[in-house]
Amino acid sequence: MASTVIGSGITIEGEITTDDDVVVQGTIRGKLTAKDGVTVEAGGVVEADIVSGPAHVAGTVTGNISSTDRVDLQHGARVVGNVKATRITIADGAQFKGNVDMDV
Amino acid sequence: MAADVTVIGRSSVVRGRISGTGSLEIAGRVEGEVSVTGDLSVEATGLVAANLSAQRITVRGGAIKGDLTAEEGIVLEAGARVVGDLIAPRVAIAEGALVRGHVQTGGGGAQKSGAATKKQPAPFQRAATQPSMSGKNGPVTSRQPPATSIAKAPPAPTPPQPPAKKSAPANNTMPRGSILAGTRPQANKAPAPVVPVLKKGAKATQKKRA
Repeated sequence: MASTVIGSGITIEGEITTDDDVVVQGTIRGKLTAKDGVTVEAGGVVEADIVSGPAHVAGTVTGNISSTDRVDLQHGARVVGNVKATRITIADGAQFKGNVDMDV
Repeated sequence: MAADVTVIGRSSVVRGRISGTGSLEIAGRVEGEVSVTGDLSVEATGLVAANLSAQRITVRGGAIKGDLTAEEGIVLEAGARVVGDLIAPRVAIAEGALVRGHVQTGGGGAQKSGAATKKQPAPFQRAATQPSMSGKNGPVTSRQPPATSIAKAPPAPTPPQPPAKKSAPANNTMPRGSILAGTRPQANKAPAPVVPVLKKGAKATQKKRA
């Protein structure tokens, strides 16, 4: 419990700020800031900059992803934007267009 | 689609518009506008500054500032605090719930909680037009709650508004009548301060009730 879930039929236009996990099955436009993890599930659409802890993407993200932890682009993910994280994985079958910024 | 429940967690803040199909549960803060086709529930930790629109709205607690519009029914449980209008075919306000606003119920035969058959928007539109044709909503609200819950709060929300509305026109008509009767021209100057004074009085009574 306690986490925030955006269901598949729901669209949020605006700003989301949370200390919890966020699971996105629907659509977010605006800005997404989470202290904890963000999961964009298959079918989820995020047209927003994401600032989060660990991020797992299997859906569509248009915007920059900035994570204090890791970013996993899973099979079926479609990401257009820059990714900044300490660790990044891009799975086979993930689409990605943008820059990668890691602390080296 | 409809099976998916959207949850705004207790530490989450959403500023903007939430819309779409499915159900929504608010345990955090929402500012903006909420419009969903399924059930909408506001938990005890929820803080909402938005107009809410849904099939059914259940307020289990928390505070809402904004109008609530449901196509089927609104339930305010004990601990709920609502500042805003309630519009639905059926409205239930439990003892311990606080409401300040206009309440509009209606819909033929929708007075009992068992009438959950109305899922289409059409009956709601009928429900919206009927009370306005029948006139004042005070009797409707007092009749409504006994079907579902104890009527303690309903008398409270209705009095604050009607006196303010009724008193203002009543004072406007009085000077007009005196002008027509051909009294002193001072009567033209007098009404201007009278109306603000009454507005202040109306606010004071609202504050007292708060």
